[in-house]
Amino acid sequence: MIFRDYISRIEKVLDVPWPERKHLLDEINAHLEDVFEQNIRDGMDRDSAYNTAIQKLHVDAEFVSSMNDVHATLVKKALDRLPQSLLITIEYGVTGLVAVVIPVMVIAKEEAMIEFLLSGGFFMIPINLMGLAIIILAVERFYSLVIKKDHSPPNINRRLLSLKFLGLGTTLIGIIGTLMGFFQAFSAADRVMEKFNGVFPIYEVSKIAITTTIWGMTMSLVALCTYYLIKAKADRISDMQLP
Amino acid sequence: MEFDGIRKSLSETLIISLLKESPMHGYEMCTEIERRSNGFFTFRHSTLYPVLHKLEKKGLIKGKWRTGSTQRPRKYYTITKKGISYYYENAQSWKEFFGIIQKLIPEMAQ
Repeated sequence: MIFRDYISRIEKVLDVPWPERKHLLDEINAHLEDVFEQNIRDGMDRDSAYNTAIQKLHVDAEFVSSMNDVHATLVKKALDRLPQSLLITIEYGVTGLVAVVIPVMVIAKEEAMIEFLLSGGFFMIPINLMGLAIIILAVERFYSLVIKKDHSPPNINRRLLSLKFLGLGTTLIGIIGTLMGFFQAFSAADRVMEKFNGVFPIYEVSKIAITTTIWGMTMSLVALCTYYLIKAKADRISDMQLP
Repeated sequence: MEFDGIRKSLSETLIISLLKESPMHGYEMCTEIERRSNGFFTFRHSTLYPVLHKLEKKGLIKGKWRTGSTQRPRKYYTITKKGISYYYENAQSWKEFFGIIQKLIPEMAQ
């Protein structure tokens, strides 16, 4: 397929649902091949034949927009007719409803689940809050990319940094919580042993290991938060500088 | 009728008029329009496809993949019954349109 790269470039900007998207790209490719072969028959070298075929077809923003309009789904057409402000309200309303109310309803039904979410002590508070944020972001991304089919590069990259931050953050807090739990359990066992004039060997052995890991993880969490804040700021500045 | 509307309607009529004669694929239509107009109508080939797909969605033409003389699959379009009635209605509108233009610009009639 001579025009594979060119066709995949077109595919990236097209917002046409499958299988129409595939048929359209096959059709465009067939067209380009026909023009290319005609150019070769007319005596052009391969490079000129290739470039002239692309120039003659001339896929531009107007083509992409017209094709997206022709193949827009009924839902998309109806949504496009609504005012932007109403659309944003609906978008956030639906996202909030799906992401918050439904999981809360499901969890509220299961006592064991509530117990599980509260049983981890202090560390479960940030993990639960960040978990909620992850669900909201995931549902919003699903709606925007799968249902609304907004595949523009800025939209694809949106909220990736936040998801990365939340994913790494919950992992770090979870590990710190685990180690704190071990530390508390070992020191409790050590206190019991002290009453019998003994020493709980694991506590002594793991003291350094657990302390250094907890402290290292905490510092890593501070670094992650700082990185996130700086990166978010840097992205906003670079977005503003784009032409 | 606005100019943009005229342009779109003209493209649709040209395509349907070609397909009324025989089934064709996109590239064939482009070369045929350029050949018949003696090169007067030269256009970006990509502008053809949104019109073709719109006509197909409206049920005025029908596209089917098959291998032609080149032995490679191409999407051939054929006109439907609905398309034929649309063609005659549109052709009549264009006739009236050019009649009005000739009245407005008498030199055109000479």
